[in-house]
Amino acid sequence: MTLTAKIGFGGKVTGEVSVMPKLEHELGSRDVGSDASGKIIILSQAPTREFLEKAKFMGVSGVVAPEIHYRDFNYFRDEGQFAMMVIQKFGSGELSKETFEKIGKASGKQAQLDGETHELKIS
Amino acid sequence: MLSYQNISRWLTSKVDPIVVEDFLGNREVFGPNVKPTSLETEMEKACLVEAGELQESDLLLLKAVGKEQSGVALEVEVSDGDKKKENFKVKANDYITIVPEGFLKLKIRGQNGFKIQDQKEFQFEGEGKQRVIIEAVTL
Repeated sequence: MTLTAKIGFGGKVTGEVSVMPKLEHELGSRDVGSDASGKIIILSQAPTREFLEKAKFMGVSGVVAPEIHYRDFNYFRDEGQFAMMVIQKFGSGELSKETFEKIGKASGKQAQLDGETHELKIS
Repeated sequence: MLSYQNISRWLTSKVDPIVVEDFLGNREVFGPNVKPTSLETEMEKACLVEAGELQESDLLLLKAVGKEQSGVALEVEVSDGDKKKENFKVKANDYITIVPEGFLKLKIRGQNGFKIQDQKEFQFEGEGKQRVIIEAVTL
C-alpha cells in the first residue's frame, strides 16, 4: 500500500511500522520510549513538540502524523533528524476514520517513508 | 508569507497565533479553503486586503511609504463628517486602526517624506467601512 501526502520533509527511511491509536491526552514525551527506536511511527493525533523531541532523542526513523502545527513542522524540518509526512494539513486535528482504517492494520509491517516525496510505502 | 501580525489586526476577535500560522501555512500549500469557517473567511479576507487584491471591501488598508526610520510619519484627522474629530500621529513602521461607526472622513498628511499613494496629502470619505488601517512603512 502506498500513501502520498502534500506535506513532509526529510530523507528516505525504512523501518517497522508502529501505529499509535488515539490517546485520551495530548501526545507528550512520555508517550514515546526506547521501543520506538528505528521505527516509523504512524500517529492518530497531532504530535506536540515535546513528543517529537523525545522521538528524535529515541532514534525514531520517521513519523507520519495527521496534522502538525506549522511552526513545529518548520522547526523539525530545519533540524532534519528524521523523516516526516503529514497526511492532512497544518493544525491539531486527528486522523480521519477512513485513513486510520486503511493504515491502522500496518503495525509490525516493514515500510519505507520518503520525506522528500511525502510517500509512505507499506510492504 | 504574511505574518500573524498582518492578519490579526483585521480580525474582530482575538485569535491564537498558532491558529493563524496554521491557516497561512495551509493557504500556501493547499490554496484557499473551499469550505471555510467564519474565522477562516475573515482571515482569507485579511490576506486579500494585505495583498492589495481586495479593493472594494468593508476593510481598507492605506499604506504610506517613506525612508525616514524615526519621528512622525503621518498626521491623521479622523471625523464622522460632522462635529466629532480626532487627531492621531503615526510613527514610522507603525499603524493605527480605526473602527468607524458610520460615515468616515479621513485627512492624512505625510511627514518626513512619507507619501500615501504618491501624495503628501490624502483624503478619504465614505461609508460602509468596518475597519481601516493606516500604516507607515519604510523602504
